[in-house]
Amino acid sequence: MSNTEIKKVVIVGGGTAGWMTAAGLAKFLGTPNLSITLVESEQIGTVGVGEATIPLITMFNRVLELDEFEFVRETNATFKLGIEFQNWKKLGHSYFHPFGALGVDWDGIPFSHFWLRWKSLGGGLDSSRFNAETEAARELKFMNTDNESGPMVMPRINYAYHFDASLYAAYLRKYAEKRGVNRVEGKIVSVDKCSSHGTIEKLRLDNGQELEGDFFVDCSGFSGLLIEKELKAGYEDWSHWLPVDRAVAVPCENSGALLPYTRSTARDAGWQWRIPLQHRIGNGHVFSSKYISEDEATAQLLDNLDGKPLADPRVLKFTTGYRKKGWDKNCIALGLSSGFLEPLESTSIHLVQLAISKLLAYFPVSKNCEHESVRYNKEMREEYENIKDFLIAHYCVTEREDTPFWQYVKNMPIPESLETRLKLFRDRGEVLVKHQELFKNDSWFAVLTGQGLMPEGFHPVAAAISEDELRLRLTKVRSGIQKRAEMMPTHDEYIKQNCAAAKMKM
Amino acid sequence: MSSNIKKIAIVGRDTDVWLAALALQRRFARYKGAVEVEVIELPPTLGRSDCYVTSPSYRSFHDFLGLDKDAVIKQAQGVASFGQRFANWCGPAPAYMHAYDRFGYDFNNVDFVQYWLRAKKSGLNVALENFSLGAMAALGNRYVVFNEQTENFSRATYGLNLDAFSYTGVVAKAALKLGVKHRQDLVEHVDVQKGKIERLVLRSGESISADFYVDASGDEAKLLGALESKENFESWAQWFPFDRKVVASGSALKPVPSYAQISAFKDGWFGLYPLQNRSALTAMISTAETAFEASLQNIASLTAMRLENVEAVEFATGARQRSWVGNCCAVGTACASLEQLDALDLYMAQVSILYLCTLFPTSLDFDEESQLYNRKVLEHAKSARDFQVLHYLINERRSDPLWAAVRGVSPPQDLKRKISLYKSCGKVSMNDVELFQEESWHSVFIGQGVVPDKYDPLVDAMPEQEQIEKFQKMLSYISNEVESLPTMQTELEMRTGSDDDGGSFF
Repeated sequence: MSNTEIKKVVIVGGGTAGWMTAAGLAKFLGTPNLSITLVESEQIGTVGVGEATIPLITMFNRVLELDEFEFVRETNATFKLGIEFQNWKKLGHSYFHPFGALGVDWDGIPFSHFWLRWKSLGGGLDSSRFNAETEAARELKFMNTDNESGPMVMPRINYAYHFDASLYAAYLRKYAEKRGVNRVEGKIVSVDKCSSHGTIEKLRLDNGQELEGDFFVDCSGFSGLLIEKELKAGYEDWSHWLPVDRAVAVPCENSGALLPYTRSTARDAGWQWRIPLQHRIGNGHVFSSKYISEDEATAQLLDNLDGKPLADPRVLKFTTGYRKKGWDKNCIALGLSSGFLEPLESTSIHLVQLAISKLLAYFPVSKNCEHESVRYNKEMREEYENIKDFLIAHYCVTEREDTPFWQYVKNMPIPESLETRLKLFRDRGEVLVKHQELFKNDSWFAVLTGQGLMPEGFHPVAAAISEDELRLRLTKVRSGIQKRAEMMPTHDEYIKQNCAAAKMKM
Repeated sequence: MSSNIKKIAIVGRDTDVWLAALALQRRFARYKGAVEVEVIELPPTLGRSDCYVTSPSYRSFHDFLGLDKDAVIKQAQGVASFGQRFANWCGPAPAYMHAYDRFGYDFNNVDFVQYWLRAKKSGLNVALENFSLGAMAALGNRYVVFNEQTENFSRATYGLNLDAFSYTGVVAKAALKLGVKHRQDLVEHVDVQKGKIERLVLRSGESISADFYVDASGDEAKLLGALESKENFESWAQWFPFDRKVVASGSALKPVPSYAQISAFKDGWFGLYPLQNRSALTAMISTAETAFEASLQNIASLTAMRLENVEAVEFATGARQRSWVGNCCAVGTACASLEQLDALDLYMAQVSILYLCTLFPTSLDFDEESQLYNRKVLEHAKSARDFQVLHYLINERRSDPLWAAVRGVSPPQDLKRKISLYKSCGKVSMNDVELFQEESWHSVFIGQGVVPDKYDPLVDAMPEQEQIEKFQKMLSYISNEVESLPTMQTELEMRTGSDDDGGSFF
């Protein structure tokens, strides 16, 4: 790294995003060549509530070479097979968006088309019966199947975690500090910028300390301390599509078995999350302040807990949208400072992880890194846009019109890209995901059909086999999934045997 | 048809009457000027707990009757059964599976069983059924679907367990749809003139005359009884030690088994037959040794099941020497009453109705037809009876008085020859009306411990080492194939399952 101008990286903010970045940079760029400093203040709380993730988190942990069971123990984590959506299609209804494949793809097209044809011939089993994660979730089971040997006759289980984000940050802090990351305590009071280039040069802290840097990572959360306050990168407001703007969060006591999934329950003017951790349940009510007051929203949340609350409810304010330039000059925004998509599909941490991997891919060698930043901003924008469409689909495809909020989201104008996709899906069951899209065919299929949009047609390739062959194929898939579910232990047993956290004092 | 028969009156009850009505209506009454079929339905005796257990060949009867096989199974709570597993028929000896499949592969045109006998003699301790794909699939609760290889190796097939009440409903509905005339009444008097029925006087006061009468009234033989002498009915009680039939219902088994379990106990035996909505239990018991209530409790504890809707009736096995007398032909149970053992329910109905349709008289002179009918129907009944009797005669429950006694009874003539031939060389002498193939006889003989000491000398042409290799190959082939088969539970769900509200998680 001798040819690089970038010798000092300063990370601002020590929440989940900050410490994930510190751990990632330390692991791959190393502290001998690169000085990495993270500045955080114990006076500033982190937003981290109980956090739900998607399966790519396992990849992040793997590249950091974390021991899975240790990680689970340290962060009070549980395993997650998908998300249950209650009351989204209509009151009293529930569907599951699982991780993992729906059936088996044949002849180059997704399984969903074969299922649609079978259904058109009178088949009665729901598509979710052909997904192993859903069946395991129904029976509260979990097992890691990654190390199974032999021919793959049964589907592998795809999973993510629910974990305590502040414990995850603490765990990664240990990891990063062990690898030479320098942690500085303090609050930023002012920022020195280069008068000619406008790049950030120095941070001044409340304790008089000064931090010089060649490259800055803004993990300061919603406030966007560097990216917005200093660099004025600009924010694109998406709240006309995603009108929720507040979340009230409260942890509560565990009760009953640990669910191996997140639950999202639609409410009058938003929705409520339920994220099971080993020592408590994380709950939150995401709502639109235009349709419900904070007090009412808080009351609704407290009325719908599975256990005794363990803290006072905390309210967070946000505007759904995207930082126009997530990377500007020598500063990159990671985490909430780069934009906010509501946590409906647990994408927050994923977007951090994705940004880290892109930052590593395009890591600058000079303070003048416009080419890298342009490319990065273009790619990240697409990611946000795609996820945004997926989230909007949860609101606009619904039978609900029972409250003003639902009347609005059901009938609001939606992005053209989503409009086209819904039409194709309705006509022929096609989702046509782009190569890099995070949510693939099976996710769209689960959510759109779960929300009540059943395709009227299917891909002609699915009509090319005989009915007997079709039935046989589906039977085999279903059989494999049943066998898979049968042999899995319960989620509780699995955790107890492998990775139970030490009992914590509340 | 140039028949002089213009009108047929069918008198009877339960499934027999509707099967006869459907078959005759479908074959002879569906065009203008054809025969008129009228059903006089006597009060039904079927209860909510009754079930029909049929052998594989019965399914072809549905084609003859023009019934949609899949629909019948669905509507009659049907479950496919790949075999019956006999437990405790031979004291402590292991249970054996009578599956509807052959054993192994015939090398050099010599029956596989002969090779097995040699191996057994030299110490092989693998049961014969382990060489049957059907038996192993049944034991593994699988559903056999053939591929190119297995269809050369196996002819595994299945019988049906049906809810008797629903099944009768399905058949009756089909018959009525074809235009069968129907009334519910009782026969007060059968007016016989010169050995023929002249007319029937009904309870309602009406009288009915027909050119031909079909008696489907079961044991009662309401019409035939007026034409025959008492000696026409031949009792088989000496070979069937249990005189009381008990039916009951338990909860449905999940995952649903691929076979029925037939367990012997001190006072008789009971079969547990899986249906879609319940488990049907049929027991044949005697109250000679133990009080009825005590026996029932014994059964309940052996099944570990809460039994409901228990009903018991006296049951006598036997057959009519002549089932067709004058212008009255008996069908079904009125011809011969067989136990449920070995899935012989409805067998007599199938055989007799098929013969009646084939021999249906073209004039009012029935002599030739009736003689042939009587001979054939009786032969079938006796042959089926012999297979059942074999189970009793070679039982090994020597310390239970009722079981021990039947071992000493002299077998029916034909069976006697079969047993002695089998004991001497392991070969089955087949007559021309056998329902069960050689492999079925092998299953029972060998399963109940009649293992001949000698084997076919042609077997010795193969070196023992070569045979051992072939056997091992076969065993692992079967176990791999079974592993790849779908489960019966899956097959059942694929046929009958339905999720009401598309996408429901729970």
